[in-house]
Order: sequence, then C-alpha cells, then structure tokens
Amino acid sequence: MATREAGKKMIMLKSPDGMEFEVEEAVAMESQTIRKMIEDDCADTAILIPNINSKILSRVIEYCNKHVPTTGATGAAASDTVAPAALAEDLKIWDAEFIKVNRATRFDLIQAASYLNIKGLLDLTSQTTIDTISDNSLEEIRSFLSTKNDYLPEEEQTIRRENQWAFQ
Amino acid sequence: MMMASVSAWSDLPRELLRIIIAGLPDPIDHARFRAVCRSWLSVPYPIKLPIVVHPTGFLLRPFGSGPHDIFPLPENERVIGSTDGFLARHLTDVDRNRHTYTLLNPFSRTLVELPELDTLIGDVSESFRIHKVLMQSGLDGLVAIRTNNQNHPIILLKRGKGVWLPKPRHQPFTRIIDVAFLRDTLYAITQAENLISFRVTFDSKGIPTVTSIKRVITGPIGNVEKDKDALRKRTGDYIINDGMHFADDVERPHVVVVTIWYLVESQGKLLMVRREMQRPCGHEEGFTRKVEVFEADISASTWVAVSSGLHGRALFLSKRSSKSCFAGGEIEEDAIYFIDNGEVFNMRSKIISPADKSFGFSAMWVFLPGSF
Repeated sequence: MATREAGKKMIMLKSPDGMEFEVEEAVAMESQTIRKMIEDDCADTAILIPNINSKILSRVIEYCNKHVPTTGATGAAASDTVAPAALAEDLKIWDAEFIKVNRATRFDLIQAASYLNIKGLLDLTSQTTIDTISDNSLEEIRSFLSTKNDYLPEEEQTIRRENQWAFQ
Repeated sequence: MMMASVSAWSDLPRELLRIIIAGLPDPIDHARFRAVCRSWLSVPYPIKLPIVVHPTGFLLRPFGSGPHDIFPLPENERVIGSTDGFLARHLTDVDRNRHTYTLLNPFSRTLVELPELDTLIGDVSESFRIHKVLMQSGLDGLVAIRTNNQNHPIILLKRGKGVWLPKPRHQPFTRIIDVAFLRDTLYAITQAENLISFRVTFDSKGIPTVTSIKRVITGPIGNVEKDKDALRKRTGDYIINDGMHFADDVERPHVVVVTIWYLVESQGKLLMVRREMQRPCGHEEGFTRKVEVFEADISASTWVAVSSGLHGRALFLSKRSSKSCFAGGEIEEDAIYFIDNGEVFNMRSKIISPADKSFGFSAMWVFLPGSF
C-alpha cells in the first residue's frame, strides 16, 4: 500500500513468496518496468513482482537504494559537499562488493535486472559474466557458469576444428 | 519462483545473451562463447570488419580505433601471409643467413613450426618472396604457398608429412598470379586469365602430390604471357611478379594503368576480380577506376561477368589474403574492400568510396574461421 513518510511517496513491492517491501517511489522507479506501472496508474496498492523471490528482490532494492540519484533539497546539499567523481568512484567500489555473489544469485540478478529493466544493474551483472568468458578457458566457463555442454562429441569436435585458432 | 538449476545459464534469455556477446571485445571470446552450448551458438553476434596486419606485425583495425599494437615483431621477423586466423611468419637469422618459417595464432599465441619449409627455402636469396600462404582446412590440412621464385613458384605442404613441388621453371606454375581452394581442389589464375585446377592427393605416408592439372578456362587475353616470356628471355629476369600488369594510358600521357587480378572463393563459387587502377607516372599511390567481377563457369569453360551483386556478402581482397564474408553490422553488403589503399567498391551502385586509410600492398586481412 502506498503511504507517505517525511514527504516521500512510498511504494509497496511484493514478491511471489509473500514478502512485502516498502520503498520510496524514487527508488522503485529506478526500474523502468515499475516506473511504467506507476506512470500508467497501475500501482494503487502493492505491486506484485512475479518471478523474483524475496531474497533477490531485497538485493535489487538494495542496489536501487544505493543508485537512486540524490536530487531535491537535501540531495543538492549533499552533492555540494561530495565531488561527483568521488561519488562515482564510491559507487564503483560498492558495485564491485555488491556483485561478489555466487553464480546462482548472479544468474537470478541478471534476469531480475532484465525483467525490471534496471540498466545499471543489467550492465553490472552482464559485465561480470563477460569478464568470466574473457578470462577463462571453455571448460572453465562451462564449470563457472554451470552450463551444460549439450553438444554431441562429434559436434564438439567439429566446432573445435572450425575454431581451432580460438582454442589453441 | 526463479531457481538456478544446473543448466540455468544455458537457458538465459536470448536478449541477455546478445548483451553479453556484444560486450565481448575479442573475436576469440566470441568463438568460445559460441562453443559453450547449443543455445549460445545460436545467438547472433556483431559483425565486425576483419583486422588488418602489416608485415611488421602491427594489428590494425581498418576503419576505427587506429593502430592496435598487439605484437610488434623484431627487425628480423616479418608477417608474410594470413590464412584461417593464422599468420605466416618469416624469420631471418642474419649471421647464418638462414630463413625459418612459422604459423602463429596472434590471439592464442600458438606457434607452429614449418620445418619442411625451412629445409626447402631456408637459404634463399635476398630477392626471394612468398606471395601467399593458404591453408585448406586448418593446421593439419594442405597448405599451398605461392612464391616469386621460378624454381619453386608453388609449394604444397602437409605439416609433418612432406612437400610437393613442380619441376623448376615449368608452366603453368610460373605463370600463376593467384590461388584459391574450392572444396578439395586448388585453383589458380594466370595473367592471361586462364583458370587451372590442381587435384591433390596424398600417398600412404600422407605426402601431398598433384595427380592432375587441367586448364578449365582459357582466358580472353592471349598475348600477355608470350610478351612476358619474351621479356624474361630478353632481360634474364626470372622473378615472377605479383599479378600486376603495368601499361601506359593510351589517351593520357604520364598516366600508368595498373591491372590487378584476385581469385577468391565465395559460397562454393570461384570469383575472379579484375581491378584497374590509375597512377600518375612515377607515383606509388593511385586510385581504382574500374572493377569487374567474373564467376568461373567450369562446365562451360568460361568466365561469366557478375553484375548483380554478392548475395548479401562482401569481398575482402589483398594479394596475400582474400575472403568472401557475410555482410551486416560494420560490413557493407555487395562491397569489395581493397586493403592496399582502403577503397571500397559497391557492386550494385558501382560507386568506389575513396581511400579512408591506406595499408599498402603488403598488408593483409586476418580472417577468423567460424566468425563469418
């Protein structure tokens, strides 16, 4: 249920496993999907976020809380004292800590970021996956990401032969 | 509820897979990405222009971020060929006057020696040049080498097995100006625009041998080779040129017309590109004024002019490495890219885009198999 607290509009987000999260509207609107719901007036009461369990949703909210722009009267005062570059650097460090999660959580986060359309979180989660692919051998990629090798042995041989240059 | 099962990453939605593959900078990562599993293989990836490599070893992006210095080579090393993602390297031991040859994968840094070549052309003269190195099917397949030397104009090599050589100074080998593989057969063109096929078989030890040589197309230009032979007899010059023909412009004095031929395989067909350049007398730089593309109709023994286009493909041409690639992304459809001066000829509009960057005639494209 939408409530007001210290002049800020609040939004209630519900996960399919029954948990409710009260967040500032500005934080929730970091998600373009939720923003559209709010703007289309579909968010009178609580918004049910399908497919995203409470554990992942709480982490997504944590990310949005950190990344919501600090605008308005108090925000402007804060940004006068902290240089934007230092703020960005601080966010980068925070992001790096935030994404230190196991691969199952990362997989859920990347999907949640995609569904909720949160660009920053999508960039962060996909970049981590990109780095995994860049830095590791084929076997390591499969193992780190727990992807199932569904090629037949002959197919795999063909792929390796055709891409001999990439695997040597 | 979202649960990460064992194979969850294989089932990542395609739009997410597209984001990930778009973020992979190196073509080698694309290849590994696609090899992970079936659903990852099916993700379309961004099509990029091939890399350009200069004999001194600098890898460059043709139209973009400028020099891309991956592996500068020492003074006594040169890149002399580019085939299937491998670069052919020539190393000179100045003190002993010995030459050695290797194949290098610049991405994985895999280095393969070619002792057969070292034995054969390890003590050649200063003027000896390799024009083209062509792998038929990877490192373990046949390698065809075209040189400027009348004694070894063509060398066929199977790594670890042996080489085949034509008899020294024998025709039609000395007249070959470009070579290309089409399926199991090696094809070559001469300056007279003859197309010759070489059927290559392997003996019980795996050593290659040419079992049949056929002139499958007789070109319309008859006199060029006789002229050249006469010139050779007169001058005693036994060096084979690199398939460039120089003539004076009959209408304009002080203008030289340079004709260059390329042979390239495209979608199971052999294409010959005849390119006419115009150069002010005494200048190295010139511009293309005419490009003609012909398809080999082997059953009718004739070249058929291609005017329609390349069916969604593009040709990347250089005297050292040529290839037909899927167009899209950065690659213009029906376009012919010339490496030496960076001109791009559009086969449909007939427009030649002026040179953007020039890399010279000894530069070559680096093609990555599987990425086209």
